[in-house]
Amino acid sequence: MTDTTDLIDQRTAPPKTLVLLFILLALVILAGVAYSINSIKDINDETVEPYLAIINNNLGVSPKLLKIVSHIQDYQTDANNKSLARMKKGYRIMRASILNDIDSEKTKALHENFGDLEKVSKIIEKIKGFDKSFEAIIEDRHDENLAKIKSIRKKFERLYSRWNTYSRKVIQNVQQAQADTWAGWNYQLKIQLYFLLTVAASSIIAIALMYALYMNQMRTGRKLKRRTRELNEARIQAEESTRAKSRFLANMSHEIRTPLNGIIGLSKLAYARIQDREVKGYLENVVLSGSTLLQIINDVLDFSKIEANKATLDVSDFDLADILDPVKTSMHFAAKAKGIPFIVRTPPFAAIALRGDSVKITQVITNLCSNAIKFTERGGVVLTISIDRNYDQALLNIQVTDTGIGLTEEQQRLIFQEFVQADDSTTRKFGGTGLGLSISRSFVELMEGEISVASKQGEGTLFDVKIPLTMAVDPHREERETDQEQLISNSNHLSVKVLGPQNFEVEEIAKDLESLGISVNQEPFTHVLFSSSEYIPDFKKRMEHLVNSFGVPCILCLSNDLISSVKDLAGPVTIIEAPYSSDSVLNSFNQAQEAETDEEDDLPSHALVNKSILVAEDNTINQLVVKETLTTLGAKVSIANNGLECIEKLRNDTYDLILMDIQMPEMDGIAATKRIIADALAPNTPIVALTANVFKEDVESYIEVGMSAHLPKPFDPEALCDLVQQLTA
Amino acid sequence: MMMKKVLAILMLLPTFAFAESWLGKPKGEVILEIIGDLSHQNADGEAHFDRSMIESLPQATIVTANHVLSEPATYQGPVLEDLLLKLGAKGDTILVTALDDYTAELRRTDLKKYKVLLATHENGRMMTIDDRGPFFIVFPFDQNKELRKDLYYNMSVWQVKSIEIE
Repeated sequence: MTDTTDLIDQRTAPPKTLVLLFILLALVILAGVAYSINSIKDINDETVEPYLAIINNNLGVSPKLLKIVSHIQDYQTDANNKSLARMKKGYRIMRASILNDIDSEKTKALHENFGDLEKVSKIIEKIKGFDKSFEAIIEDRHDENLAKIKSIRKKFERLYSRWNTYSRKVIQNVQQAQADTWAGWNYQLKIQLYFLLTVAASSIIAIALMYALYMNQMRTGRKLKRRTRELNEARIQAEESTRAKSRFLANMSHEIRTPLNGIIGLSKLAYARIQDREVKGYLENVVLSGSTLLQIINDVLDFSKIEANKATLDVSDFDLADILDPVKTSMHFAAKAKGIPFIVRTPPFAAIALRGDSVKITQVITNLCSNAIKFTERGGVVLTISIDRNYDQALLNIQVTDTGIGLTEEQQRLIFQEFVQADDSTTRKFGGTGLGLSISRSFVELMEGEISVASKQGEGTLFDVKIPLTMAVDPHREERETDQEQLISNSNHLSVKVLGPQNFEVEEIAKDLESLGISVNQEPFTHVLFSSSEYIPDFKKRMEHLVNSFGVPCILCLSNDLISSVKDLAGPVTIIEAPYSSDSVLNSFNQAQEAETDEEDDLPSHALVNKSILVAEDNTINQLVVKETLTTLGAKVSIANNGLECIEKLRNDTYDLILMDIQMPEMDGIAATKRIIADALAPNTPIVALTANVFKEDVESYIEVGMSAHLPKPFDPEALCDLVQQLTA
Repeated sequence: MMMKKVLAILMLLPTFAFAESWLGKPKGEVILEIIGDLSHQNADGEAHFDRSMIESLPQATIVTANHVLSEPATYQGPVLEDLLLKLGAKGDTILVTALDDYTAELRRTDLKKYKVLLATHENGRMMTIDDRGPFFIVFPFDQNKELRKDLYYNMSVWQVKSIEIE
C-alpha cells in the first residue's frame, strides 16, 4: 500500500502543464479584452458625417456659380434694366450662399484635412472680387455693360471649372479616406471576430480544463477516501491483532504460571520436608528447572511488553535489602548447583531507603548474575552494589564480574541485541532464550540508566550498570545512620582470618573486608570467617575443630543444608546464611557470641496460628500448595473451588482472610468479590487476589473492585505470611 | 325650431367674413410665401407676408453658433410652428425652399420640440440677401447636442423664400 502522502503530492496537485495552460489562456483572454476595449474606443471617435458635409458643400457651390452665369446669359440675351436687376440680385444671393457655405470655420477645417485651404481662400477672394465688377454694371448703359459682362462671364466660367476640378479632387480624397476608414473598420471587425473566436475557444478549453481538474479532484478525493478507509481498516486490524496478542499473552501467562506454580511450590515444600540428601538434590534441581522456566516465560512476556512499548516503570519506595534478598537466595541456589561461589559486596548497610522500580532492578541484577553463573565453570561470580549519594539523588552502581568464558570484541558489541548470544555453540552448550540482556538493557534505558560490558575472552566478563534513583523518605534514617556509623567504627578494630574451600571465594571476601576497613589475615585475629556452600564430609567435626583451634569467635557463612548439620555447635559461633554479603557479615561481627540459628528458610510455624483463611482456587495443585503452606504456618484453611462456592461458604462462616484466585469457572474472582462486597457477606474480611496475572491494568482492577492486596503466583511463602499477618493484624 | 337654427347660423355668418381678419394682406414686397392646406390665407389659398406682417408676429430669440458662424449669435424672429398653427396648417412635414434653390424637408414635430425660429435678425442686425436673409431657420444647436449634426445643419436653411406644408 503506497503512502498516502505520496498520493496527495502526486495526484491531488494539478499537473504543472495544465496549470501553465490555464494561466496562458487567462492572459490571452485578458489581452484580447484590453485590445478590444481600446479599439472600440477609437472607433467611437470617428463619424461618417464630415464626409457628407464636405460633399454637400462642394456640390452646392458649382450650381450656384452656374446660376450666376445663367443670370448673366439672360441679360446678354435681352439686355434691359429688369434683367440687369435680376442679374445683380441673383449674383448677390448666390455670392452670399456660396460664402455661407465655404467661408465658415467648419468648412475651412474640413478643407484643411481633405483639400487645399489656400486654394479655397483664393477662390473666396476671387468671388468677393466680383463685387466691384458688378458695381460697374450700371443701368441704361447696356452696350457698355455687355462689353464688360463678357469678361465677367468668362471669369465666372473659369472659376466654375476650377472649382469643379478642385472639388472633384477633394471628393476623391474623401472617398480615399472613406475607403481607408472602411478598411480600418473591416480590419477592426476582423480582429474583433478573431478575438471573439479566440475567447470562445479559450473559454471552451478553460471550461474543459476546469472540468478535467474537477474530475481529477473528485477522483483523487475518492482514491484518498478509499486509501484512508483501507488504512483505517488496516489500523483497526493491527490494533485488534495487538489486543489479541495481549489477551493471548495474558492467558498464556496464567496458563503457564499456574502449573509452574505447582511444580515450584510443591518441590520447595518437599525439599523442606525431605531428609534424604540425594532426593534433596533432585528437588533442588526441580526447583531450579522450574525457576529457569519461569524466568524464560517472564523474559518472553517482558520482551513482548517492551516490543509493544507497554513496559512502564512501577516506582515505589524500597530498601536495598528488598532487591538483594531475592537475588541472594536465587543466585546462591544457582551458583551452588554449579559448584562455584557467589559473593555479594554491598554497602556496609543495606537498609537504605530508595525510590524506583525495584522489580525491574531486581530483574536486571538477576539476569546479569544468572548469566554470569551460567557461563562460568571455574573461579566465581561477584555482585558489587554501591550507592553514590548527592543530596536526594542516589546513583545505584551494579557490577557483576565473573571468571567465565568471556566475550570477544565483536560479541561485546552485539551482546545487548535480542536473540544474540555469544555464538551458536554457546546456545547449544548453555541454552537460554537470548532475551535476557536485551530486556535488561531496555529496562535500564527505561530507568534512564546505563549498561555496559567489558570482557576478555577466556578470562572473564564485567557488566556495569548505573541507574539514577532518588532517596526515599525514611523516618528512621537518622536512627539507622547512627547505628550504621557505630558498626563501621567498631569494625576498625577487627582483624579477620578468612577461610574456605574455594580460593576465589576466600580472595574476594578478603578484598571486601579490607575495603570495609577490616584487617584481613593479620594476627592477632579477632574473628574467623569461614564461608562454604559445598558439602564437606564430617562437616560438623571440622567446624568444631575450627572453632577450637582459633579460640576466637567464628562466623560461619553456610548454605542451608550445611547449616542444619551445625545447628547445635558449641562455642562462640555465629552462623549466617550463604551467600556472603558485606552487610550481613558486618552485622554478624557485632552480634552476641552465642550460636544463633537463622531460621529464615524455615518459616515460624506459629506465625499464622488461629487464623482461619478461605482459599478460592479451582486448580487442585494450587489448592494443595496454598493449603500446605498455610497449614505449615499454623493457619486453618478452607477451600472453595470457585466463586460460587466461596460465596456459599461465606454465608455460613466468617474468616480472617480470603485468598481469591481470579480465573475460576462458574464465577470468577472479580465477580465473586463484587458480590461479596455488594451483599456485605464478609464486611471485615480482607480479600487478597492470588493470581498469576500480574499485568498492571489487571492489578489495578483488583483493587478497584475492592480487594485489599494482590499476591502474584507463584507466591513466595514468606511474602504470603507477611501479607496475611499484616492484613489480619 | 327650424327658425332658431337658421337664425343661429345666420348670426355666425359675419365670423366667416372676418376669417382672414388677423392675417391681413401684404402691403410691401412679399418676402415669404406659405403654401398648403391652410385655414387662413390671403392669396389664392396661400398666405403671403411682407416684412411688417412678420414683425407684428410674437418674437422669440435663440442664442447659438451654427454651421456658418463658429461664435454664438443672437437670432430673433417668430417661432415657425406657432405661425403654422396660427395659419391652421395641416400636415406633418414642410418643404422649405431658399433663394439659392436649396430645399430641405423639416418635420413639424422637430419644429415644435425645439421651438425652431424663423429668424430675421442676427445679433440685432436684420439679415439680407447678402448674408443669410430674409429668413434663416435657426435650431438651438448650442442647447441640444443631438442637433449638432449634418442632418439638422442641413435643415437650418438660409435665404428662405417659401414654405410648403405637405
